[in-house]
Amino acid sequence: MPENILGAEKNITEARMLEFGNGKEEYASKESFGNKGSILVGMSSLGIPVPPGFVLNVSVCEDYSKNSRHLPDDVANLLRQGILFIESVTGKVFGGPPPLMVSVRSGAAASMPGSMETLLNVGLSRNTVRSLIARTGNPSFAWDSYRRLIEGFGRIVFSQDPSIYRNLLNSAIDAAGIPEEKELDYMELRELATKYERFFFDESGRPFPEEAYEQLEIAVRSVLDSWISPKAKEFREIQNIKGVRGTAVTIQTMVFGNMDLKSGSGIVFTRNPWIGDKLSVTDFRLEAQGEDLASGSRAGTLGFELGTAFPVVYKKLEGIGKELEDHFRDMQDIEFTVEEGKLYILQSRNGKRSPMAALRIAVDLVEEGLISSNETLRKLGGIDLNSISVQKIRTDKPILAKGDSASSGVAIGKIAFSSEREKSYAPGEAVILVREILISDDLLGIHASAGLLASSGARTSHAAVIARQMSKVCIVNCRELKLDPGGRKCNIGGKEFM
Amino acid sequence: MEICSEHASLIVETAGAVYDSLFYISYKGDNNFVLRNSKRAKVWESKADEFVNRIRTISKRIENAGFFEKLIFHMDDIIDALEDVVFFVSLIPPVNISRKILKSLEKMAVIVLESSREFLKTVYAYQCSTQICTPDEMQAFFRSTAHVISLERTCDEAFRETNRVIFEESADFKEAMLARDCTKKIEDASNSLMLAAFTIRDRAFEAHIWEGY
Repeated sequence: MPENILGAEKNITEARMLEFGNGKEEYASKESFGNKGSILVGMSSLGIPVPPGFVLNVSVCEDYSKNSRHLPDDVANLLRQGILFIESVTGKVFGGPPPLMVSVRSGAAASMPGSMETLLNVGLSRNTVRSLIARTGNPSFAWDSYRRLIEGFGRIVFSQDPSIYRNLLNSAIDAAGIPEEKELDYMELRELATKYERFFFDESGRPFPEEAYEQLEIAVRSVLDSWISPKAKEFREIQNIKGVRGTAVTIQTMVFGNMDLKSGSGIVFTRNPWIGDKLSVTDFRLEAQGEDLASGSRAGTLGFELGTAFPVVYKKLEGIGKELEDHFRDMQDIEFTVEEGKLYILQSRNGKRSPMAALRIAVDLVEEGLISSNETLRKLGGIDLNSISVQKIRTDKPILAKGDSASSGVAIGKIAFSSEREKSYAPGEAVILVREILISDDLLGIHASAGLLASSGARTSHAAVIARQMSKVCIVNCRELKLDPGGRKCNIGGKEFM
Repeated sequence: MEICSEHASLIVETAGAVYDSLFYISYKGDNNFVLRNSKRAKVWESKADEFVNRIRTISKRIENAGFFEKLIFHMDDIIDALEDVVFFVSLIPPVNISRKILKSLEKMAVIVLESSREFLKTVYAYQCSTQICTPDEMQAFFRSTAHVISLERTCDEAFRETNRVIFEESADFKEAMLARDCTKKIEDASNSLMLAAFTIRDRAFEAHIWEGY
């Protein structure tokens, strides 16, 4: 039975594939459909606005592994059946006009943020970009979606060097004389997509796959492979995750936070995950895909708070947050997207929190009658209550720089600019990992460091969540931190450090 | 028509720049962004001029020359007006503009951006219709054309309302002049969008493209 879900005893299914998003009242166990899949099915049953989709049972992953990484015979049919369902709900066509695009996501029974793979915009091709422009009237958005798809496939499926894609993007930004990718116009994005296609061909020896179902099958394989990737294995080892059978695969209609200025993506914690008070914490970015925030590549907009830009959406989100918190009986970490002013909930999970916040939230949940005292003690089982403390620095020296706090505390140590460099320090020596952005690939570096500092990125990104979970002090979006491109030194607030 | 769709895409970019700039000013964002937008809009207008010249050169040698010349004439007017708006908006930041006036301008910018996107859809749908046209494509064509026309009426109402707000709110000559220039140019762009949409619709009827459906 899905943990903490009231009424979950109803209609639990063990099907090989499960559809969601059309108001079916169904519940899926997290053991069979992963945390993400079971929650999406649950939210859909509650009437929460979830983009329609379907989930492949974890048993598909088990069979895939047993079968020397060959897709089980029934998968092709399950994919067609699921896509037909989405097409019928959305009125879009997979690989044809009007184009249906889906995300293909991993999701095991245990939470493994950022350690397995997700592919976005699957179903789009150079041919369907045209249909997407015809449907939306937004050429920049269409070409941006396509170049993101190529990059995702190149990087994740074909293990191509991500820095080449980043360099191509940075060159386009420089040539246009703009500071950010979101200011690229449709011509620049189209040219960038062409360069990506050329690089993809040079690296893989084959053109980028045009056919939608071929893309889908490749994406599903890639997600299943990511369960046994070194990154996922490391994560399970460090987090002592045992007895989890594999990953489910969630295929879901894409909603776009980067469609226009009435769109955006964000993450909301229903209570403060650092200190535990009852005020929600929202990171939101206009004209961005959720992945931009979660991957750490972009920070939430501090100046454009969601409540100011979209008051109606904000109010609705608050209501949904309360509903989900009551339903799951815990503080929620909710990923959402606003597409053309309409709110969609992509994911909700029990939010990671600092030990201090865990204590405060647990006490509040008991006082609010959401959980019992016994359940509270069970929830706090892994926390040494005596070790909870608040640390502050007392000094007369001026502050060098400020950033967004992703995990609070005090850390002192030598600077390391990469996880590799960090390994060269003596065992037990305190190290602070300093990066432009923190990514979940830095898992070992995060684990080994006393603290983390990044010049950009969101406090709600996967890497920041991992840092908080590991009780590492973490500051992101520190604009006054400038890293030397050679990676040997940095400048913080005008002072140089090596 | 392929060249027209490129030109129409630049119209969308420029209309987007109008909205983005006003939105940033409204939420006290980065002024450099607004200035950059103004420079970018100038570049887009120059590129659009190249497309206009290409159409005028080609149209001497092709059938339906009158249609293309008339269409590109209106499209040229649209981007010229929008580029002017982006420039005028870039002058706003030092002026202490009334919040109500800014909101009214933003409302007009949303309308003209929507209209530009609908016009681009019209151009794409017309391209489909000149080849093999499905009933869905035919519907898409009529829907987008009708939308551009109705948005012109909406923009006209917003234009009058914004002028009322300017006269009621503005106590400063610079503010009033700037806001008035912005509204006038947005209204011009919206009007030219409607004329361009009419041109395509009339051509579609003349050529009996929908015969058989």
